Amino acid sequence: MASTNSSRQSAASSTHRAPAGDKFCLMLYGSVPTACFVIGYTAHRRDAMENRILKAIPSRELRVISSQLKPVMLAKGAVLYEAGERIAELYLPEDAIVSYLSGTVNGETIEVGVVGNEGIVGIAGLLGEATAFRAVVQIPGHAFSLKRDLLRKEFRRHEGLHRVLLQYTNALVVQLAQTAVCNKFHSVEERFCRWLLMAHDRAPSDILPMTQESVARVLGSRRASVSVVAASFQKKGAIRYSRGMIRILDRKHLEAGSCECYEIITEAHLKLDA
Amino acid sequence: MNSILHCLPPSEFKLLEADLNPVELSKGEVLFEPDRRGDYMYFPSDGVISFLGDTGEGGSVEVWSVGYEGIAGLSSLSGTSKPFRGIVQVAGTALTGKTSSLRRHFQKSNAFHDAVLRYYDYLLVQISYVGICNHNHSIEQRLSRWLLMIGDRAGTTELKFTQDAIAGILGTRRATISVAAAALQSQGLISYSPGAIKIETRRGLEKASCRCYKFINSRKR
Repeated sequence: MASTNSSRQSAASSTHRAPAGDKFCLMLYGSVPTACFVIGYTAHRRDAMENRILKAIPSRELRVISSQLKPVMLAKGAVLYEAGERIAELYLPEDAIVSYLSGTVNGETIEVGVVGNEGIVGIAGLLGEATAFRAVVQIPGHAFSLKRDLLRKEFRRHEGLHRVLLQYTNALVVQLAQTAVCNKFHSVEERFCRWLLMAHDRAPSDILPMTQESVARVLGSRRASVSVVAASFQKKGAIRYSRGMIRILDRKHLEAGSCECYEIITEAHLKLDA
Repeated sequence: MNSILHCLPPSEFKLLEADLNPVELSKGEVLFEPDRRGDYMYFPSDGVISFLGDTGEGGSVEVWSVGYEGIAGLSSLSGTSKPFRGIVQVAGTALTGKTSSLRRHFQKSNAFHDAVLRYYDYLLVQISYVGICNHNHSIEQRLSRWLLMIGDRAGTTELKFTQDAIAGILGTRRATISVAAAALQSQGLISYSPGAIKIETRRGLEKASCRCYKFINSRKR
């Protein structure tokens, strides 16, 4: 437990592009895709937390749920919920990234929404009971899990928690709607850039443990199309990919290549902190 | 009557009603401008409000719509705005109230609070499924799905829409809508004249539609 905790500290305290984070990702890559495992109970200090929902809750209220937050490790590829499943636990990612995926007619998948440190996975459990989508861990990492029944009860009682979760729900409405527009109307290239920028914002390092295959599954396009796009951005010096990883070298190229959806979605989620 | 209001216990509905006023929604009226916080929320009875996203180059696509089953202007409840334009797609009536007073009811009334949460759940599913539908399915399936959804909300089989307007809702060109409408008409599912479409057989149209229509409906509670 001590070693996992210290790696969490190093990942959390390092900035976006620090090499410490790279090591962290390498360590996690290839871990077994079981759902997740508990890494122990600790006293949670807000300044050590990366999740923006937890950071935005007033400290008095955070203390109420803090003893119930269970630190967990989310392994790459782990399925947190299947479509239609009743939600028992919600997850607040620290540096993990989770996708809501839907199937397409050709048996491919497409991402309808993404959750990282700006949000909470399984909000459908708070609003209703079951999720309509499969939730899959794209980038492995840490999260806190919280029992649905507990959150549902406390959420109604605490004004700050209530406000923050509702603001997040509104941001998610914007994200899902804008992602839908993006998936339908924008090129694979634009969507590739948008996704990498969004993932980079939420990841602890510049290395995203994503194969071109897994990027294709998120974008709902064929591997071959993703491959062409990835090659062109590698040539520009924006990214470098190797052995199932994509390293972000220069965000400027990705920002130039992305559609405005990146900004619209990012701005919607920033309002949480306002 | 709006379902959300209809499902409230009579005592709670009375309290809410005191802060609501009936309003006529006229076709084409813009109720919400993108990125501007709304001061009012709307509970349609038989009108339909559509939220439109920008597809680039002047095009638009419907990202979600609100009829008797829902509420338009929810984001104002938590003081946020959204980057979409909300316009009246089908004329009708609604009850409307100031967000500031509805926020108090939302905090106090458990029944209203829970109804809003359930609606949010449905809304997230509707948005995602409409998006997936637009991405995955043929224009005939999408047109059928949309006609069924709007027909349910408007409570009529006669819909006043030009093919241009439908193109701006389904995010495609007028010519594409024209071809799809002709195909549905030749199967006897709809009939159309300039500026109007009539649903001839709902069951036939359900068969022509993808599963998205049924799935979205199944999440309504």
